[in-house]
Order: sequence, then C-alpha cells, then structure tokens
Amino acid sequence: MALQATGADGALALAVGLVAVFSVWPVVAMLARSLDGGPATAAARYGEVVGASLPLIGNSLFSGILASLLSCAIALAVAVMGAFGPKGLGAASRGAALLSMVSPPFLASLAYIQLFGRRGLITHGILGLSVDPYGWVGVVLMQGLFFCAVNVMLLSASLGRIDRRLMAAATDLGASGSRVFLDVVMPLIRPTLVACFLLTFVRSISDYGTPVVIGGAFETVASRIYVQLTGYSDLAGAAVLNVCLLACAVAVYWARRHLDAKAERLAAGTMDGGGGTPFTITGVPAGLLGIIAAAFAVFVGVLYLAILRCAFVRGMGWDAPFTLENFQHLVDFDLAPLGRGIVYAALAALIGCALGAAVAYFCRRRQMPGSSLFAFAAATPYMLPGTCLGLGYILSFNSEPLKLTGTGAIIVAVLVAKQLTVSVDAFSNALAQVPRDLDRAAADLGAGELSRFGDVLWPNLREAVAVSLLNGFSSAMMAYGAVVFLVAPRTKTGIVQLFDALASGRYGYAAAIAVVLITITLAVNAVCWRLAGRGRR
Amino acid sequence: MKFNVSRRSFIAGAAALVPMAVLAGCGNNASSDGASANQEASSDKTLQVVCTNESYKALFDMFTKDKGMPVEFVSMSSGDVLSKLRAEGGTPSADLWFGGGIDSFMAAAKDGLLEPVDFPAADKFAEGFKSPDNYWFSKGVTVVGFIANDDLLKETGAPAPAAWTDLVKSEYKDEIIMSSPAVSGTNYAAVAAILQNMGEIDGWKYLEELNANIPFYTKRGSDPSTRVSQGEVAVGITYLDRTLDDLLTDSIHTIQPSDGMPYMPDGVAAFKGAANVDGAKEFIEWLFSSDENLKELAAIDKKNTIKLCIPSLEGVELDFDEKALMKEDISQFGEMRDAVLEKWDDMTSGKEVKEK
Repeated sequence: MALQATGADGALALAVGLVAVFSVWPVVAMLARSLDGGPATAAARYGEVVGASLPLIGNSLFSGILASLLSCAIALAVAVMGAFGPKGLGAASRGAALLSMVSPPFLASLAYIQLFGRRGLITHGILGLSVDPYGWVGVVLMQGLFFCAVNVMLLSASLGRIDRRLMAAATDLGASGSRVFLDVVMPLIRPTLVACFLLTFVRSISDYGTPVVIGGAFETVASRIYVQLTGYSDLAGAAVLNVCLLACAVAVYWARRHLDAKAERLAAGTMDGGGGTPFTITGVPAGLLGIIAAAFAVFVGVLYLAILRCAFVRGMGWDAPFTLENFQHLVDFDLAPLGRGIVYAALAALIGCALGAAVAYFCRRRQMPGSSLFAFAAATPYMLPGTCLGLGYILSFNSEPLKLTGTGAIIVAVLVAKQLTVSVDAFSNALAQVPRDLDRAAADLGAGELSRFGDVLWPNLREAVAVSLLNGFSSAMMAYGAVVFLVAPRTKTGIVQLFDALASGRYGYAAAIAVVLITITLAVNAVCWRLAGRGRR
Repeated sequence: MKFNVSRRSFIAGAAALVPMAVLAGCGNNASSDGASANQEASSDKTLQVVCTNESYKALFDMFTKDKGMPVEFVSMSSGDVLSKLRAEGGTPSADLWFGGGIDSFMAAAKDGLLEPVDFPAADKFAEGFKSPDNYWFSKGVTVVGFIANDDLLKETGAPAPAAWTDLVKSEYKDEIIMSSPAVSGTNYAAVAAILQNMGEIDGWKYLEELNANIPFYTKRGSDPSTRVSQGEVAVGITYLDRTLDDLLTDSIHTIQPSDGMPYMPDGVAAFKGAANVDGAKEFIEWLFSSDENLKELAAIDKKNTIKLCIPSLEGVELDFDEKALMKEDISQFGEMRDAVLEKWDDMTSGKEVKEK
C-alpha cells in the first residue's frame, strides 16, 4: 500500500511536470514576446494593437458565441437522437458527427464555397442563385458544424450515464416523453452542455482557418494573428493579440468554475441503473431535435461528398471530367509523411489520454490544493491559435537543456498539449458522475489509490477513454496550425503535404490527400471505438 | 455479467498500460534526446530545405546524384519562414531557403539571419537580382497580371480588363479580387511597382480607387486565381506562370496588362547558423554555376525568368518581351515595405474589419 501511494504521487509529479513544461512554458514564452523592447515600447504596442483590434475582438466574441450556440444545439440534437430517438436517424447523425471530427482544416470551407458560392454547385448549378458566401454567416455555420463532434461525444457519454430508473420512474408517474426529456434529462446533462459551450467558444475564437477562407471582409482576432505572423512576421504584435484571446478565454473559464460547482452537486449520485424500459423521446422537443440532427447529417454528408468528388475530377463545375490523376500523383510522390503522421497522431492520442486521465483524477477526485489552477494550466494551449502555440514551442525548446526543435518529439508534444483539455474534460465529466461513496467504500476495504483508480474508477471511464482517444487522434491527424512552424524537412507529415497542395491551388490533389487522411483516421477511430466499448447500454 | 466486467477491466487495463509505457519513454528525455542527437549526427550530410512548393524534388534529386548529399524538404510560405527564423533565434532547423518573395529575404538579411555565399558565378547576376553582399540570389521572377472569368464578365456586361488603368473603372465594382500585399509577395510587388511608376501621390490615388472596386483582400497568394476559376469573382490580380495552366478553360484566361507587369524576384539563400550551412552553400554554387541545372529549374518552375537574373544564360529565352515588365527599383523593396504596408493597412482598414 505504501508502494501504491508513492506510485500515485509519482504519477502526480509526472503529470504536473509535463503540464508545466509542455503546456505552460511555451504559452508563457509566446506571450512574453508581447513585452519585447522594454516597458515603454511594450505599453505603446499594447495601446496600439489593442486599440486597433477592438472591432476584431467584437467580431471574435460575436461569431464565437453564435458558433458555440449552434454547435451545442446540433450536438444536443445528435446525442439525444442517438440515445433516445429513431435508430436510423440516430446512427446517421452520429456517423456524420464522427465524420465531421475528421475534417481537414480549410478543405471543408472550400467545399462550402464550391457548393454554396456564387457559382456553387448547389446554389448556382441547381437553384440558379448567385449568392455571396463570404462573411460571418459562413464562419459561424462552418465552425458550428465542425466543432460539434467532440460535444456530441461528451453529451452522448453523459446521456449514457444517466440513471435509466429516473426516467422510468417519471414515465410510470405519467410524464410524457417530452416532459421526461425536459424535466429529467436536461437538468442532468446541463453541466456537460455548459462545458461544451465553453470548450467550443474557446476553440472558435482561436480558429483562424475558417475566417481566413470564408470570412471575406469579416476578420477576427485569430485571422488577424495569422496575417500578423504570415504577412508581417511580427511576433510581438501577434503575442499582444494572443493576450487578448487569452483574456477572453480566462473570463470564460472563470465563469465555468462557478458553474462547475453546481454541476458536481447535480451530477453526484447519478449512476447507471442498467435495464429498465427503453425511453423514447416524443413531442415538440423530439421533432425539433430530429430536424436539426437530420439537417446536420445531410449537410455534412453533402460537404464530404463534395470533397470526395473534388478528388476524382479535374477542374470545377458539374461537368468536370472524371480522373484518377490526383491519386496517381499521390502514389508517385512521397508516402513516408503519411505514415509518419499516423505514428505521431497515435502517440499523441495515447499520451493525451493517459495524461488527461491523470490531470482529471488529481483535480476532480483528489481535489488537491491548486487543482483548478492545474486544470487551467492544462487548458491554456487550447486557447491560443495553433500557430502561436507552435511558435511558443520554438521559443522554449530551441536551446539546451531541452533542445527539441527539428525532432518528432516536439511535434508529438505540441499535439498532446493542444488537445489535452478535451481529454481532461471528458474524464472530469465522467468522474463527476461516479459517486464518491464507491471510492470511499473501496478505500475502507483497504484498496490503495492506484488500485482504486484502476479497479473502481477506470471501468466507469471507458466513454471518456473513447472520447479522448478519438478526439486526440483525429485532431492530431488534421492539426496544421500547431505543427506548421515545427515541422522540419525530416519530420514532415501528411497534413503539411495537403497544405502545400492547397497553397498552390491544386484542390483536386489536396482533396485526394484529404480522402486518404480521412479514410485512415476513420479506420483507426473505428478500432478505438470498438476497443474502448460503446457506452454501457 | 461477472465475466463481462473482468473482460472490460482487462481491456481498460491494457489501454492504460500502453500510454503509461509511452509516457515512461517520453519522461525519460535523456533517451529521446540521445536518439535525436544520433539521428542528427548520422544525417549531418543531409541538406534540409525550406521551399515554396514540393515540385522541386526533381532538382534536389539531381543535386543528390551529383554531390552525394541527400536532400529533405518541406514547403512553407516565405512570411512563415521569416516568423519561424525570428522565433528560432539563430538556431534554424533547415539549411537552405529555396523560393519566396525577395522582400522576405531582404528582411531576413537585415536581421542577420542569412549567411553570405561567395562563388565565382555570382558575378553573372544582373544588377538587383542578388544582394550586393551575396546574402541572397534570385532564381527567377514572378510576374503579376490578371486572370479573368468571361462567364461572369458577360453577366456584368464589362469587357475583360486590358490594363491596370482599366481596373479602377466602376464597371468592375466588387468584381476584382486580390491578396493582401502583406501576405502575398507578388501582390506586394504590384503595389510597390505601381507606387514607383506612378509616383507616391498618383500611386496612392490609384490604389485608393482600386480599393473601392475590391470587396476584400484574400489572405493566401493562390486565392485570386482559384476563386476566379471557381466563378466567385470576375477578375483576379495574380502571379502569372504556367502553373495556372490547369485552371484555364474556354472562359478563363490570363491577361498581361498592357501598361506593364510588376514582378518580384524569387529568392534563394543559406541560413546563418544552420547545421549544414556548408551544404547549403554547395547547393547554391552548384545550381548557379551550371546552365544545365538552371534549365532544369526553369523546366520545373515552368517559366524562363531566370534569364532576367542571369542574362548570359544560353538556351533559355523569356516567353514575354522584357519591355512588358514594369520598371522597378527592387533594391528599395525591402526598405519601403513597412511604410507601404502601414499606409496600405490604413487605407484598407475599416474595410478588412467591416461587417457585411
């Protein structure tokens, strides 16, 4: 038992150390660049940049809130349809959600323009309209659609853990399907819904790919950071903008801590009772959520078909001829980066899962002092645009004692750090729904901390493992911003090749690489999903 | 049920063990560092290249064949390279910078991030196509012109523009697309050349009128040509080279403006402090000292503008009249960049942040 205690303490020390070195240090290094040139210069810089960026901050908040609301609405619809709705619709919309998680940045937005632009295959080709796809509507729509996958998984896990006996009891007492949903289910998943909203909001305001492609004249802080780095190579100015983003995110996290306290109280004691009559949702909520889920499935399906089609045709428009040359080009070229990308992503997913479980456990279960600070520290990399996190990594790891620039290790590390908070969230939500009494009972029976974690908690965390692995692997496969500054010629990955094709305007080739990446990622995800088990129903 | 639980915990346990093992490996940084150090030592003779796109593989293969030095490359836009160089603080993770707008090379040289390369053939460059102190060399130029979509022009009733002076006509309102000159080196060249040719006052007046016809500026250099070919806008201001050939159809064609094409030299340089800086120097000398290698480069780039940089090169002819180019003082491009872009930002701001 003494040995086990040391084991747990060792794990804690390791987790704290890793978060400090790979999450906090690079972020601090990047933000510190905003102070370059002494206090007077820095103050002037802050005044100038912040002053000029106020409208951008407004834009970021505006599109971030709308995208998060949309994303949560979609995720709720999909998760509820998956749990309590018609089988076909549930499966279709969950499939679409899984697919949308594996979305190569930029490409979905380009597909959107191809479909709904001025000469869009749908808006112009079928409907005969000529609409302008650029602006905040496109940004909100694409972010809402493509950021909802993680939310679907978190919500599905949450729904899966609701005590079915509660719903059965309510039904027996004469409550309708819609009343049970609104009065029993909704209050229980509200904390998760809030967590989803905040997570999406933070992700939305730090996303630059979507506004860069379809924002048009609509600029956000994140797209401005992109211009600052790519156009002006101005690290200090970009750092100031990052401080602005972080300030927004900190406000959001502070609000969340307040809400979380409630969440614990509400969720405590809910445990799967197993069995019971299957609950089916009815009434207005069922109709509304059903429509949203169906629309989502159709929309995502059409976008992916557009990407798929793009990989197999030459040129644009409905009459573009069929070709295999894009794939031929891919085979003729270097396949090593594809394989390398898979290895990096798999390592990142596994490490992220373990580290996320550890952080969540120490913060939520052990509730050690400073645990909210610890959780926040783990979340900081998620709050910055990937490019800036990458630059922070260069600044931190370009010299001894920890010279990692140019290695594969730095890429795995940045991929883990970027998504760590999603993993922490998944495990935190799951832990919140496992009653503490169970833990205490095991302790009374003489179980040490490690075996309590392994035997009591772990079996209840399988959904969280699945969420963490799936999200970790998919986002690592598709992450571009975080790695663009870190890849060296010898550590180039598949996504970098995709970007090379996009940057030189070869959409067909880019789409072909995307199809390959998507297929690989989906296959790996399917295996993970099976292994980790699909919920407890 | 009992069996189920134990199988579950088996899987869960197995899943937990794998990352723990990996973590243990990662926590032990000494070992992973050692491995990468070994890798570096064994590949010391590898040339690490940052290039604008991956089509140069054939050229790098030729170099490897001639000199026995393997080449690995990754593509990155020149602005990103500069950001990365500045963050790396003198420890670049690549040796050779191959391609990109010369303004970024000028900025890097000014920051002391490039290594001069002296070799006999450096004397062959025409004036302005290498830095006076041999910090960078041009491997060609990128010319700027228009791409037009006839279908859309028919809709708006405007003829295809033939010259820069056409673009400010009201019939092209909201029908012109251009990349931000901050992001696109070629479009910076266009703005700088217009200012140099029309003069400060008339130049800015022209740019303001042009600005009124452009709904927004895209943030990637390839956007104008692809957006025009997708039918999103009628006219794009874009680099002109044969990589655009794939986009051209009966209704989509490029235009060389009759009042001159701006151009931007395309740079090559060695990174100061790079692990294999000698390899980078060797490559530069190898490339520019042999007509054969330069011809291969021209074939890959699908353009013969290297002839402008090295006029003595035989067997390569420009595919346009040199007089079609605007007159430019490239030596000023680096110095004037900050001021021009700042003024540009002021002129277009309110536009770039405007809500639609």
